[in-house]
Amino acid sequence: MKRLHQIILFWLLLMIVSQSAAAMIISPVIIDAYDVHVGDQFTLTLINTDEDWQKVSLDLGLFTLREDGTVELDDTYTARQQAKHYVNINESNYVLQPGEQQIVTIEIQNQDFSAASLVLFVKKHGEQLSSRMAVLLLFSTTGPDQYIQVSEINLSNVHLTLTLTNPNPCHVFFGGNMEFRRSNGSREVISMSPVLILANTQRTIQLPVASDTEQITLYSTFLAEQVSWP
Amino acid sequence: MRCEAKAFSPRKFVILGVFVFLYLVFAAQLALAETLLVNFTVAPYAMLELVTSNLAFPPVNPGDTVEATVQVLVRANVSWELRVLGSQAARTEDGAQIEVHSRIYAHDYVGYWEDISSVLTRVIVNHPPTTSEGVLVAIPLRLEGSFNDPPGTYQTQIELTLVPQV
Repeated sequence: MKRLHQIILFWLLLMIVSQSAAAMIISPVIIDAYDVHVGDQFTLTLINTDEDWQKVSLDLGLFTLREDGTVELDDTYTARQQAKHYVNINESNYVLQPGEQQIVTIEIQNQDFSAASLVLFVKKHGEQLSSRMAVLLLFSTTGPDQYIQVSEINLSNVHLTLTLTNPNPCHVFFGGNMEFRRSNGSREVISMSPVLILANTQRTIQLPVASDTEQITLYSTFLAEQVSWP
Repeated sequence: MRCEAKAFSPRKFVILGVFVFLYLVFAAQLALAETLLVNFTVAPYAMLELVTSNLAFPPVNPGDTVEATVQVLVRANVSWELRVLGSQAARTEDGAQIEVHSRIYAHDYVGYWEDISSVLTRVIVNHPPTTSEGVLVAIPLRLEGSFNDPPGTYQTQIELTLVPQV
């Protein structure tokens, strides 16, 4: 009986702790647009789900992608100034009451670029622990008009490695379908989650494959023709 | 018998067939006219909740280490990464801002203890989208006391960054 009381007390404490935890919701966390012009506006929503007020500040920076897709954030002064040259945020500091939501407006203020990869940091201040969420902003003043090139394709017994090159002066979210033909003659088609390839860059993607895969065919509207290996 | 033969004459069959065909075509057009294409977009969304809002390490002797864990809850419909960064700056009990030599380390995604006061450490990488309940992440931290810091209580800051993967 004493043990049962202890368990109930533990769960009550857990519930109290989880209810008092500080949380912030952001949507969307990725914004991308082609053919942007000065004055174009984009919005995102911040929601305070905490039971207490929260101080939130916004700051800009730049980001780039390593070839393996790792997001490299740049929040240096130079990056911040560069990002501020491209876009303007209507308000940088908010005090959000419990349950309150705020709409943040991002406006293009210069279009002297072909592709810009920016990051909006949404920082929630705490005494010892602070949290920051990165919102990725991808703006291009043109749209893609050239096919993505498959520079390299390798199949090991557990992985398929694809190196893709984007020759466009704008970003592309590459997606498509892959058909796997197995040694027993069966075929399986899987849909690829879209992967970002920044303007004029390469991206390497590694996908797990079954060890008995004999042939892979990649179909995508971003490719001039389907690619098969071997 | 003759009447029955007349009722099912081929000519009447053809006329009836034409009427049925026209009715079906008309019905199909009506059905097509009522079809509505609906477009919708599910926004890429993320939530970061600091389950541990304040962290206090137990007292540490110079040269020794003590450990503590920070818990965060992440809910996201995109793949994500979690990074942690500390600081060498700290505040003393009397409110003075100083540089400390004691170090805080975080357990990175490959299993090494990284000094977060000088390196932005990636603790979770390429995490797939979560369920609607989210994922509770426990980040082990280690404090190494330094002989160069006078005895006392210090307060420093740790920042956790959630980055969507694209």
